[in-house]
Amino acid sequence: MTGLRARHPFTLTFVHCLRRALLPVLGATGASALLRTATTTPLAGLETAPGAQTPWLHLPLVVAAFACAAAAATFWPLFAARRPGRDQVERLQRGPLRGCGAALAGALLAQLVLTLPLMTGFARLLGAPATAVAHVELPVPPQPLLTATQPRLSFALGDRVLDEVRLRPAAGPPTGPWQPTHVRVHVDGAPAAAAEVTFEQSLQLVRVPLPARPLHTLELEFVSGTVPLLFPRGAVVAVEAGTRSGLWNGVRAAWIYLLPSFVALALAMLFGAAATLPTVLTAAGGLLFVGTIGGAGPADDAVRSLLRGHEVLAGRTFSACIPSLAAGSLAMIVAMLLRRRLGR
Amino acid sequence: MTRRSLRNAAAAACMALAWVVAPPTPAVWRQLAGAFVRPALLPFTWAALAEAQRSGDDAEYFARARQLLDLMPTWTDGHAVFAYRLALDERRAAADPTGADAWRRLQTALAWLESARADAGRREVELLQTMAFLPEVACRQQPALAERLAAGGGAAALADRYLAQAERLRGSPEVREQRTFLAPKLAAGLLAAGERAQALGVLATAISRSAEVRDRQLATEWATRLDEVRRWLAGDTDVDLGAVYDDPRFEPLWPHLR
Repeated sequence: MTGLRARHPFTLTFVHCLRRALLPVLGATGASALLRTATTTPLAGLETAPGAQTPWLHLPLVVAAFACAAAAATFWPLFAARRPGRDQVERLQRGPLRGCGAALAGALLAQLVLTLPLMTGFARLLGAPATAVAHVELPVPPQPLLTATQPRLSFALGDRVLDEVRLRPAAGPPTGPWQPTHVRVHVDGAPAAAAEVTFEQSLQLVRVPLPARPLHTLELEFVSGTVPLLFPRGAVVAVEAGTRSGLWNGVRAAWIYLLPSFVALALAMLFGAAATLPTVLTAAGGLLFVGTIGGAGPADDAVRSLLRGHEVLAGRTFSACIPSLAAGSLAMIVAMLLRRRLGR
Repeated sequence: MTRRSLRNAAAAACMALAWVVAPPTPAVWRQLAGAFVRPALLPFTWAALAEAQRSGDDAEYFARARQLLDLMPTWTDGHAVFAYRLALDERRAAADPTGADAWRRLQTALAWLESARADAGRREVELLQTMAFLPEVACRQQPALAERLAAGGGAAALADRYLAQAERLRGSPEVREQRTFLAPKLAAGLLAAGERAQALGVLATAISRSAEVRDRQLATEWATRLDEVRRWLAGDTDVDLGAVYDDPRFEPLWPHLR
C-alpha cells in the first residue's frame, strides 16, 4: 500500500518538483537579499516602507512557481502530446485526466512547501509586520460624488468595531476659484473625532479615527470648497480594530500565490491534449508571468498586503481569487472532456 | 588557418587591447547592466508607484519613487518633482506649528537632490538651481520654517550656497537670474503628480524671483505670464492665456491649462 502511494502521480510529481525547484528557489532568495542590499540607496530621513519591498519577495516566489510548473509539465508524460512514454502511461493510468490532475496537485503542494518559509520568514526579514490588520473597502453609493449640489454621501460600516477610516477621493477640476474642499465626517449621526477634514488634491489620504464600538454608518458632508470629490471603489477603507497573526497572514498569502500556478497548469493541461511540450511550456510560462509579475489575479495583491501588514483576504484579494479559481476549474473540466473525446 | 579564424582572432585581440587600454570601471558595468535591466523593470516600477499612490501611504510612495529613480538616476526632473513633493507636503504643514517636521522634510529633500548630483551630468547646474529654489518655496508655505532657518541666514542664504556652486560650474553669474525660468517645468511636474497647491507655491515664488532678472522688460513680461498661469490654475478661468500659449518656455504647462 505504501509502495503504491509512493508511485502515485501526486507523490512522484511532488518529490520531483521539490528536487528540481529547491536549489533555484534558495539561489533566488539569496540573490534577492543580495540585490536588495546592493541596489537600495538609503536616504536618512525617509521612513521605511515594507510595502515597497514587493520586488524582492516576488523574485523567489516567481522562481518557485516557474520551477514547479516546468518540472511538473516536463515530468508527467501526459501533460503534453507526443511525449516519450505517453502511450504506456495512458494505458496504465486510470482516471478522467490520466493522472494530470494529481500531477498538478503534486506541483502545487511542492510550491506551497517552498513558498511557506518565504511568506512567513523571508517576508519578515524584508520588514513585514508581525501582526496583520484587516482593511475593508466599503461599498460605494451609486453616485459617489461629493459636491456643493450633492452634499452628502453615506457608507454602511456593517456593525464593525473600527480603528479608523481612510478616505482617498479623486479630485475633479475646481468649479470656481480654487479652494480646498472641507468635509464634515459623521459616524452614526454624531460628528467624528476629526470632525472636519480637508481635501485639495487627487488621491490625498486622510485618516479619520473612530470610536471603539460597533458602528453602522459613516456620512460625509460637503461643507465648503470648489474641488469636487469622487469616491470610487477603494476610496473609503475601514481599518478594523484589533490585530491578527502575521504568521497566519503569511500562510494565507502562500495559498493565494498558488492560484496563478493552478490556472497556468490547468490551461497547460488543456492545451497538452493536442499540443506538444514546447507549446505547453510556453503557454504555462506566459500565464504564470501574467498572473504573478504581470499583476493580473490575486497574487500581487496578496504579497503587497502581506508586506504592508494588511490582512490578506480582507480586501479585494478575496474577490480577485474567484475568477482564477473559476478559470482553472473550467480548464480542468474542459481538459477532462477533451481527453475523453480524443481517447475514443 | 581559414579567413574566419583569422577574423575571430583579430576580434579577440582587439577586445583584449581595448581592455588593457581602457579597463572598464564598475560604473561602466553598472551602466551596461542598467541598459538591459531598465526596459524590463520600468513598466512594473511605474505600475507599483501608481499603486502606492492609489492605496499606499506616503512612506511607500517615496520608497517606490526612489526605486524608480534608482533605475533612471540621470532623470533630474524626476528627482526634483519627488523631492519637492516630499518637502512641500501641505497636509503635514498644517499639523506642524513649530516647523520642525517641515525642516526635517526640507533637509531630506535637499539630501535627495544632493545625492542626484553625482549622476546629473550636464544638468547639474539646473539641479542646483532647483535646490536653490526649494527652501524659498518651503518657507513661503510654512512661515515657522522661515523662522527656523533665520538663524543660519534664512532661505536666501541656503539658496545662495547652491547658486554659488552653480556659478562655479557654469562660470557665469547669470545662473542666479535663470532659476525663475525653471518654474514652468517644475510646476508642470507637480501638476502632473496632482499637487496643485505645491505648483501654485512654485509659481508664486518664481513671480517674486523674477525681480532678479536684470532685463526689466523681460522680467515684467515673465512675471505677467507666470501670474496669468497662477491665476488660471487658482480657478480664474477668465484669464486670457493667448500669450502663454505663444511662449514656448511655457510648453510644459500647456497640457495642464486646458
